[in-house]
Amino acid sequence: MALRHLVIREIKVALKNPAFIASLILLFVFYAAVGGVTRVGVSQSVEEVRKMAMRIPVVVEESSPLIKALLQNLNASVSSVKLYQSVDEALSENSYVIVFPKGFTEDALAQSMQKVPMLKAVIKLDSLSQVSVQSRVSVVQSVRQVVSRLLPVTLTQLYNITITQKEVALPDQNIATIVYNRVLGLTEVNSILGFSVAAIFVVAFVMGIATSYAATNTAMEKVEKAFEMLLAQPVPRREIVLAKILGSIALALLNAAVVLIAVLVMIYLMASPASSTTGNGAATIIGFDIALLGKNAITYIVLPLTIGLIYSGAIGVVLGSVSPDERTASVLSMPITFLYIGLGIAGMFLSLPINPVTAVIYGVLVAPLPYVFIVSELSKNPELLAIGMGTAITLCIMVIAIAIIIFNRDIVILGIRLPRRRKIELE
Amino acid sequence: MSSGVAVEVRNLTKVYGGGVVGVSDLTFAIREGEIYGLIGPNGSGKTTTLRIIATLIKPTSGFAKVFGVDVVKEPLKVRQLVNYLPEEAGAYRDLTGYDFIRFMLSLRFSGRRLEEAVSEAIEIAGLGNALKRPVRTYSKGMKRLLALSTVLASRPRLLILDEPTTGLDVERSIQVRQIIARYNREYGITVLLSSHNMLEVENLCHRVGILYRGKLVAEGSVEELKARTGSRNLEEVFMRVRG
Repeated sequence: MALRHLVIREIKVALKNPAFIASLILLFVFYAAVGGVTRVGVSQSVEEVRKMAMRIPVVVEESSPLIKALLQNLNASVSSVKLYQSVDEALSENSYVIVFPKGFTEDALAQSMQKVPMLKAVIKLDSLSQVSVQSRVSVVQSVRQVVSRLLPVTLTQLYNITITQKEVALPDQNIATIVYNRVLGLTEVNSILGFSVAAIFVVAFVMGIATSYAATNTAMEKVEKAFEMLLAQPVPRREIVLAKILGSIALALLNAAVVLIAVLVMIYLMASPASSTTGNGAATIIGFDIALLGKNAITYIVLPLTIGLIYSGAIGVVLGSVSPDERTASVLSMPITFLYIGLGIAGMFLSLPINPVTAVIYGVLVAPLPYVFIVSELSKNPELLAIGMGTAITLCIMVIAIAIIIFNRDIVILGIRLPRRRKIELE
Repeated sequence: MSSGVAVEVRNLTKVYGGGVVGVSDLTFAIREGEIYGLIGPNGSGKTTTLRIIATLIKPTSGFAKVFGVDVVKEPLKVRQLVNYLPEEAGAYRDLTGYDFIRFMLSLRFSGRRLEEAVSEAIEIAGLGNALKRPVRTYSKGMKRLLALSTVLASRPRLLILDEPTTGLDVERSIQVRQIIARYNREYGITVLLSSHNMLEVENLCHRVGILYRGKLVAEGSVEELKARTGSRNLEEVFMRVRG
């Protein structure tokens, strides 16, 4: 009997806790938003694929009856094939091109199974995003599959020979991308995208920690009843605000360093037994990124992280200063953390091109700035970086100013008081 | 007791969001070296008044001056003259008592003066070896003494104490009152305190202001108020003047 009451009380207390309810709502909203953003991205890519698959742009580097027959079969069976004289010409009208390279016919006709006919593909990217890369890669791979399926049929038609095991290959190293007028291999592009997502996540995660620390520590000071004593001391309020921001930055960096070291230790321990077979792939990718992006690769994280920490620390101080207690502070800071991470990475999935408008948006969010750095570097367009960084620094100063203003207002003592429903008093 | 004016409050009104009136048209003055008590029930405006004078919140209208310095126009200057002990003031729970004393006093003093102030606060707190322990292990009374020791050791010209003995046992309450009286006597510190405890105010304060629903309904020395209302003690005075 008592157990029932105890269990009911446990649940009732949790359900009456606004922080618990808010976390449930936020979790739902966050995952629904992630799903929504992914859906938009995938829908865009599906539409793109559909359009791209309607016409297959092809460049032929060797003319042979086999290739002619293959193209005729391709034209008849799946989509219309359009031949171009050069890759550049094809890409001026399309976002990808399939290339039948020299040696294709020889490899296709070779009796040896070791000789595999290979295609090449060149993909043009308007924006550096996972979705746009994957959608184009999936199109060229689907073309490869169709060509692969038609090859034995065509060989039978032309030469009356039956080869069923011969596959047409299109390995990643045969796929080139043209992004911001630079030619990069698919592996390079994937590496850059992986680096961007990781950098955005790291910056957003550490920003979330800083906001959370600053908000809860400031609010906790109120609960500990030391806050009013502190504010009554002859110290300029701006110094109190700056101290809180710097404190939250130090704590967030400490936390992030411990998390980073712990994750590295975990990866090392997990990889050690299999190191002889797997090699050190992560180190290779990091080395690759640094080689590709230059030594600035570290700067791409450090600079946004520095601005992001000050920015998020100031936001945390603002939230904590208007919260009457740490529970309210955590309710207010939690969605902000979700926003840093969710919105930061969303752009990568939405295929948003980086232009002055999106650079401003990314500057407001701060976390995607590493991505802006990379795009700016690849496109040799420092203006975008200047816009993004300028926006972030301006907002950073504004949030600090808001925090100082709040610390000089009543709200820092009284906190935000949400209107409560009045209970009807019964006599 | 000096004759200068330590605190001048005139037509002070504070209206919070939602139209809740904290204090309304409040006017009173505190002489330098005086212990002045604000008494009244919960919600009468005591804490609002003290917070305005301590520069923590701003009045909606009217003004308050501390030793001639306006609390709204020159808050930093006022904070150099006053120190404030909020109601149920605590301390950072993960700091030791000693670290808390040192931190609070380091915001006002440095060098030799800081060391003197820290020693003085340690003596006032009288917590012995407990000062080496984190504040989270302290009882409510110990926390109160710790916080009080830092505000007293800073020897402000005006000491603002919000319910200094609330929640303390009799022994600790007497100890706190004695310390306040001693600092007033020995260093001429002007004290403005609020209290629910009429007996405390009767024993400690030179003059008293009675607040009721944000308004000052009576003011004077305890004896004057008793004589004026024909009451035997301050509780009776309060019941009669509130109407």
